[in-house]
Amino acid sequence: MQTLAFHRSLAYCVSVLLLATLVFAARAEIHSTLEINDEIEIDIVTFGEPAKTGIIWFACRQGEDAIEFETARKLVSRGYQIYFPDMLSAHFLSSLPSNIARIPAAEVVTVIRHIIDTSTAERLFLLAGARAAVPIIRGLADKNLQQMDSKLKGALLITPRIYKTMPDPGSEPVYIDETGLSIHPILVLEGERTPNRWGLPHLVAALTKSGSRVQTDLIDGVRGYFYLRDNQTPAEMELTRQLDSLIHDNLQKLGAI
Amino acid sequence: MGFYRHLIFCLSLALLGQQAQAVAGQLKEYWGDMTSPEIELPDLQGRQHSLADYHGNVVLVQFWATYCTPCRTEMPTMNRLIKKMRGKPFKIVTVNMAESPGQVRQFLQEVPVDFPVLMDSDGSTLSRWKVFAAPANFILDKQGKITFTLYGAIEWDSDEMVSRLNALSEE
Repeated sequence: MQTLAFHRSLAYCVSVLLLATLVFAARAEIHSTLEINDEIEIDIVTFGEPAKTGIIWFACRQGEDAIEFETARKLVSRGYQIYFPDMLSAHFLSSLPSNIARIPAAEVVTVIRHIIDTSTAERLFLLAGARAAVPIIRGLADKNLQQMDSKLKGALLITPRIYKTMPDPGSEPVYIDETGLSIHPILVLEGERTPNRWGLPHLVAALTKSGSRVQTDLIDGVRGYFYLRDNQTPAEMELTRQLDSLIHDNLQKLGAI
Repeated sequence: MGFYRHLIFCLSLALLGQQAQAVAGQLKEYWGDMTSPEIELPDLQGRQHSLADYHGNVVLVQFWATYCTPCRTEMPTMNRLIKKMRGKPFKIVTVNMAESPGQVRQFLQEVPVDFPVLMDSDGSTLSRWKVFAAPANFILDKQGKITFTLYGAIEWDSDEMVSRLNALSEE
């Protein structure tokens, strides 16, 4: 009787240990550092094992509680490997959405090239939302990057904000200087409940100038940068929970552009 | 660490919002094509409105949406502005940005307004007016020319604003 109880306890302990290991493995992330020069080192957090498809995600926020990290874990279970370059910490910049637009283009390009060179993924996509789309547009404008191995398949931009300054009423939008210098495919998702949706034709016209094939899609019932808002509506909360599905589905579309 | 990062992010967003409001809440002289594009749109009751009908008045044309939080905040100040400008050649015309009549009706039950709300159901009017943010405001002089623009919300019934609109209405 005592032996049976012992075996039961042992089996229970082993199960708990196994479960904990699995949970840990699912949450595990690898931290690495890329030295840009004597003064700048960029931390890169990688989620998931080497996979066929990799995502280089420029995020406005980083950290355990960031929705981007939570979504990355879900994307790992869908078979992706995700790279988060922390462009802000290297410059001691706070997680302010506007700060990510201050990162020098050369650093962005170095990071993207490093990941392309070291990743075993067969295809890589760039991903960003809101103001974090700025480094992607700057990266895609780089001629060397355009001539590199075609492992880079394009960029998915979720409610991107790449204005030079907020457009005044009655004025055409003006985008950052590197807009329209890319050749890679771009898929832009915009909230249906934001005035920025009316700027999509202008944005597409600007992005396609050098040959990028660009598609746009509206996301029903949400405002711009819905997943970053602290005043989310129920619809925005729900879609934030399903952000991994949104990204997965649209990477499929982007791959077919 | 994660908590503090989140806190800093939220505080930064709040600061950014305040900065944006501070910058946004100012009239800017308009240097583009001064002629205002025509507006020919129905209101919620289906009555057709034309901007030409308002000729001879200083007109505040506002493009807005129910999901725009600043729009909700400033509309009561626009109601009060109408009262303060009573007897002057001044009108307010607002254009909803392609939302459904149901959404607009529900909003107006919560925030009743004393000015026409026109329905730009396909967004063609706001495209002609080059509107990419909400609320987007245009102030037209009595000849129908755009003189000022303003992005964002302000206290429309402030003494400063009433004084500027009064001056414009007396030109």
